[in-house]
Amino acid sequence: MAKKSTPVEKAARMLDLVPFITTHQGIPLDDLAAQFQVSQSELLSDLNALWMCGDSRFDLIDLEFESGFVSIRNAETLSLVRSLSPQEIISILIGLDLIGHNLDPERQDLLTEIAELRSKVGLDIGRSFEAIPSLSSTIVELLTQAITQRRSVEFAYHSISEDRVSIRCVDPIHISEAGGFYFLQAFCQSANSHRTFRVDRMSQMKILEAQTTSFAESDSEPITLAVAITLLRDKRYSRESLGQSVTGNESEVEVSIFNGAWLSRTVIGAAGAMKVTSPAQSCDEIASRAGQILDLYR
Amino acid sequence: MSRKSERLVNLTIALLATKRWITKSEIFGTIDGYDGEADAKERMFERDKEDLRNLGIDIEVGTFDPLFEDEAGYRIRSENYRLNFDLLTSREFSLISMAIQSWRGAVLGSSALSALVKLKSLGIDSDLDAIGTNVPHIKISDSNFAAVIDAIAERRIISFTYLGPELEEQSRVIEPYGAGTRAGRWYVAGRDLDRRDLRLFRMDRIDSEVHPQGKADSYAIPADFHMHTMLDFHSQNLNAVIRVRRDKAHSLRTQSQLISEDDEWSTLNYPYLYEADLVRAVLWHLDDAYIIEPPSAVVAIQTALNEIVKLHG
Repeated sequence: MAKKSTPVEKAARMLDLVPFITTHQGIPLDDLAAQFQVSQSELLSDLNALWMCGDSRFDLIDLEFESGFVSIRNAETLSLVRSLSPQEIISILIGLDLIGHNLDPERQDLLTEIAELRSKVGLDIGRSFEAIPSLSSTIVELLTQAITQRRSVEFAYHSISEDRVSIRCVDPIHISEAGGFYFLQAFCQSANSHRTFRVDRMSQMKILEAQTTSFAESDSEPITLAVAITLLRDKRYSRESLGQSVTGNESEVEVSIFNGAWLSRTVIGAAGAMKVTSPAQSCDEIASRAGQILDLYR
Repeated sequence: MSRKSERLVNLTIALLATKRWITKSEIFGTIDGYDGEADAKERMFERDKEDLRNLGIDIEVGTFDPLFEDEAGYRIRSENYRLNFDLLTSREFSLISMAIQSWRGAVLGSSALSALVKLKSLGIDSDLDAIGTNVPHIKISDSNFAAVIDAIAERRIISFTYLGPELEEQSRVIEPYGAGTRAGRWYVAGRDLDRRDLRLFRMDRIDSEVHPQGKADSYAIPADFHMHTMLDFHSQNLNAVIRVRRDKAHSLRTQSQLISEDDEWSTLNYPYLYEADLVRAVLWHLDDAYIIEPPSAVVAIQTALNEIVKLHG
């Protein structure tokens, strides 16, 4: 279970236990512990402490839990459900934002409802938060489902390095997350090899009837190329544009690539802020590409 | 340890049960745990009040007689203490519980969990099926996220190290006003106390732990602050004319307005904010795109290309 609570967290939990037990009289101890996500011994310590609380001018709170089932009496003052803390309100607001932005196009009717609810719950703090997810969680859910059921999927993919949208048919293997983006590792049937796709560039996801083929045999490691790069200026931008796989410190970095077009675009797109030092073949490629672009301006 | 939590609960009961103001001396006399010298009791009481306020419990301060500066009295009004969801429909209630459940396992999970417990305490069943849409799953792995959210909620100053444009480490001290996402990245906005200006920070560029400083409620979030305007990157007010090959450069096309088209090229109006961003965006498309206007950007892109040839030739 989680780390030991601070006295303030414990007090908050004690205040919340009273109304919860009031509406769930006779709840088994282990259920109650699970609802509050604490260990049974921590819960017992809370209940024992609560038992000693109350307004001494009247009676103390009367708790019964020795039977393994918890009930409460004489706790009218505390039986009110406590209003939400700012953090709780924020967690609801962000969750509502995400639901709103994840809706199916045909469920736009919920948007007005969510907007109204956001202002009812959020009051003034609502203007401090704005969550818009980068991708549709429906796609992630469909992919997860396909992986568990070992089904192939078909989707439209916007390839940035080739700059075109194409329909792909793949056997999904694994979804990972890095730098705020989701990636799908999959066996691409059209290319007959393993590929990595960015989930936010997929659309029109469909789960196919076909079971995924056994792609273990055709397992060919993608050919990667180690490229050494010097960052000359705009180092933060350059480093971020090289992505997660970049290694090395400060200005001398190395990146593993399996797509020469991507390297050219990234280095030329940096507008002179980075210089490829090896391999020579990549340098030539970049120089010649840059020359071709210059021709457009003559 | 446990004495403190019991004292906080008893203080809450006493302030909640009273219909009139109760004084500090009454509190010290009736609630166990306020021991020691007058000064120590005083400090203990001040801390307890702040702890309860941080839990969102509103303690009112008043006096018995408005004409005299006599001893202050305290109370908690039950209408402020209790969760008031009376006006919510059962559908709204279900939407809220869905919003809470989207946090399963994520960094604000503990706040979401305690909110869910409160909803269940109201004894209303939420019917997720009635909404008929999937519960999204929030995935935030940034370890500073919770610290930033707490600071905004408590209006507490934070400090951190931020990576500058050349990866230099900058010390920042800000009053955080809000947080939000765009394109998968989380941002925090606030007043930078050294630069005396409103600034926006990308959370993945924060290179240290986020440290809270000083007291809660140490500033107010300006009334005209809105996170969505901070994140409105589309307010680019400059316009470039660019040409892109037909059926190419989709990411430039989606942001542009088409002016004209011939067999090989489309001419587009492309909005931008900084010339450097325009140059980079067009260069990314290699010889599928080039700039016609403004002339300064044409010069900049040619200079960059000549430099690239020289660096790699």
